[in-house]
Amino acid sequence: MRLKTAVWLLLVFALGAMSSEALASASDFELRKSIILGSTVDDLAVSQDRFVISLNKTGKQLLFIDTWNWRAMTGTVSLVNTVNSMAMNPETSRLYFAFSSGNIQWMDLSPLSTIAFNGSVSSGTLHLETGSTVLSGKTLGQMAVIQPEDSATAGDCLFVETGSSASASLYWMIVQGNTVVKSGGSILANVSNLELTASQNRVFARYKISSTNYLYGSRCSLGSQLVFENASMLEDSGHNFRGLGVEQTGSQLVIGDTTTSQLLLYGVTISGGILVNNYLASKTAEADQVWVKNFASETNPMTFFALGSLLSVLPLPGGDSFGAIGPTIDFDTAPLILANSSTTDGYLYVSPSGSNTVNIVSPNPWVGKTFLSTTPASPIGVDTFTVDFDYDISGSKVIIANCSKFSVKTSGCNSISGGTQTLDGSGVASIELFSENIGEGTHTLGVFVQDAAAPVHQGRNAIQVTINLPPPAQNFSLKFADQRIIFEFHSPDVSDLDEYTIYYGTDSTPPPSGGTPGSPSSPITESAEPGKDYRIIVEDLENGTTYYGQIVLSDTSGLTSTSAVKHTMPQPTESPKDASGDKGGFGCGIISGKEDAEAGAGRSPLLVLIFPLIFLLIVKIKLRGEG
Amino acid sequence: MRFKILFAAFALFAGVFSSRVIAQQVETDQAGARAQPEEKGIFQKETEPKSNFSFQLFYQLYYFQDKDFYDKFFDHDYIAPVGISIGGYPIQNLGVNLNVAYAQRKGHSFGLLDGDTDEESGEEVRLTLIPVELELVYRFDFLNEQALVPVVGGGGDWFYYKQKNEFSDDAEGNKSGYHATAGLGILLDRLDPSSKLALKEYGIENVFLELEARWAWMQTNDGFDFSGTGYSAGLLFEF
Repeated sequence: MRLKTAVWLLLVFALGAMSSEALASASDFELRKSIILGSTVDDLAVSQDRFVISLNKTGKQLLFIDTWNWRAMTGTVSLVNTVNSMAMNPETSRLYFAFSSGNIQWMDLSPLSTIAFNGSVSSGTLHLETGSTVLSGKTLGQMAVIQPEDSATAGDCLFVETGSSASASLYWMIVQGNTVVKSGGSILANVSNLELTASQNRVFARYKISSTNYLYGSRCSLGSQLVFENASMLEDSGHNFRGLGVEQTGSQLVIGDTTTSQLLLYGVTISGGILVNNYLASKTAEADQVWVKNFASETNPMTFFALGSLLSVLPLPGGDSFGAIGPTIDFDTAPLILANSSTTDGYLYVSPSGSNTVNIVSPNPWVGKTFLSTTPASPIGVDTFTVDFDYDISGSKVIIANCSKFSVKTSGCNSISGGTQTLDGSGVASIELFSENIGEGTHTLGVFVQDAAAPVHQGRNAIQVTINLPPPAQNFSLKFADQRIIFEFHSPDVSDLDEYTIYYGTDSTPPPSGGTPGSPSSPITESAEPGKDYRIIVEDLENGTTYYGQIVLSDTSGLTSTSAVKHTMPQPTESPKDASGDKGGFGCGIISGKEDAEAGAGRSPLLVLIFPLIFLLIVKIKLRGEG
Repeated sequence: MRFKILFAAFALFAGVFSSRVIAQQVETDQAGARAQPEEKGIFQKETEPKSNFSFQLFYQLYYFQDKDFYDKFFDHDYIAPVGISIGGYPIQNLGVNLNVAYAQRKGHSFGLLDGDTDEESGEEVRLTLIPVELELVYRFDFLNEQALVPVVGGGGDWFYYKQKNEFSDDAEGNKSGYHATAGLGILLDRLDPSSKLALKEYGIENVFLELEARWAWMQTNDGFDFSGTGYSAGLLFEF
């Protein structure tokens, strides 16, 4: 009995140890890589997980990072005029710009998805829409964009700060397509220290009027073209607040209280309007910037807070309390600019103010420089080749997948080699691949690593390879006819197919296999089109002699494939007329019987019957016509 | 001899029905008005005038009697003609039809070396058939708007044929014979009376779905034997 209890206890302990090891935590977050751009980063946004967009105010331009293979892209997109701020919509498909002129303009980012692997951007890639001039002449500040609650993808609700930090106002507008369908007057006016943060479809503002601190929350509706608002008073005037972050669903707010050096967690309820009235927890931590982010790989939302250039992470277990503060990363200068990819992708992009560096912070295992270790023939032929990559991983498996387009998941790609190799620690890993398993053409190979945590963390990178394989060996049928042999085949559907060469002769080893050319005209070489039926007839051969045939296919790069050898024997043939003894020819015999036909008689009893009936029919019609 | 007997039977049949038609025509003339079709009860006996002409589009599966022969060379023991039939009704329910169809089948010749004819060669052969038939049919259509109309008939056949060979001489000619047919006409007007009214504007009295079987006996004395059994489905329009 005691033994049984001990076994149970051991099992429970082991399971507990395993689960605690598998659970993700704040300590997973690390600085993974820094990417240097060509100019200062003044603001950041992420589009559809793949592109990190950096605003350079001085140069009035956008710069890009392609996270498919983690590189700064060549080229910029000009904004022509001075931009004060930018904000991405929740769908990450449209970027809004607040120009110094007071105009609001936007840019659809869908053209970015057409950029090829290792591609570049230019001002022709994206263009600014005319936008709105309703705030023309005002000084525009920060912006926040949310989705309407009643029609998530049909429009955006934009909130814009105007004025100065000492006396700011907040305006709103609803944008559908390229039209501002509704814009309102100022929601807030003459407030100070305004700070905005947005979740999917809720926006929050922290501000002061006189010395009193307030929180404002708002949603919007496309149908009624209204914003629903509510404001509540924070602590007394003795406190100073800095930093405001909201969780993705808009149900938790974190505010930095610099007076008490605490982070405050509030719950949000909806009752008529938005009520930020549910104080949940506090954590001793000094902050002047706060963000709350969700990650699919983490069981809890994560609060990131910065004090100067120091960025720390703090989980929100259960969403109603603070956990233990994780590692702190020093970015040297403050304040920090922060943007994030989707929860599924799980990357934070952080830039210290005034720098031209974008830092990647993530709980994901890291796949660094990805390259082909030994330089294979370019393009790669029928060969094995090795994809190498730097890694910093804990107990992760590696999956190589062929991705026709950008994908943050292996499910969007065709797995080539996956799951069998496990990496632990850091170093350079090598995965050997066989070109014939991938196929002809240029391929983007995604390198995915997944750890053993639950939920799983996934790191990714990619490399492009070009493979040039010889055409597949041509399958064909070799048929005979009278003094003829006939090659029939369907050419392979490969884009670089160039020509076919047919060898035939009486030698059982045709030239491609070391034999002698046949006669009368072997070989026959013609240009070939992919995926086409061919029927090649060789004439003037000897009946009763065995002929051997072989086909060699060539592609435009000179690679060839040789088919199997087939044989047949030309011989006289018997067609249906021969087999039946039919000589052809015409005779009368219509409607006559077999005997009549054999006798060659012209009698036709049935015609004798039918012609009177036809006559009768004519009479009948005539009588009716006269009637 | 048997054609004489057949002729006599048809003559008697034609005489009876033609006298009836003429008598009815005289009555109509005396009334001084052209006969007009009237709405009749379904089970009321149908009266003249009825349709004068017919036109049919049909599709047939024609199975050769010598199926091993055709199966060997053409991989099938049947061909599938599509055709038209143009007919007239000299006497009520008795029709004279001229049918013309077209069919083609691709096959291969066979090797002859050492008498071995089992190996299919690469030489393509193509058999084209144009059957032409002249026939008498009788339609058992006695009731007004009769839904199902049995049909029987028979007639003479003339088949044009051409065998086109890829590497050797072609052969073409004709074969003649005769056939018997039996089938069933399904009156489609009753399924959709509104369409009947529309068709009447174009002079179409009735539309039938015709299902027929026909048995043909063709010349076999020199070469191809096109005798066989055909099963057809068609749309018959009566004017």
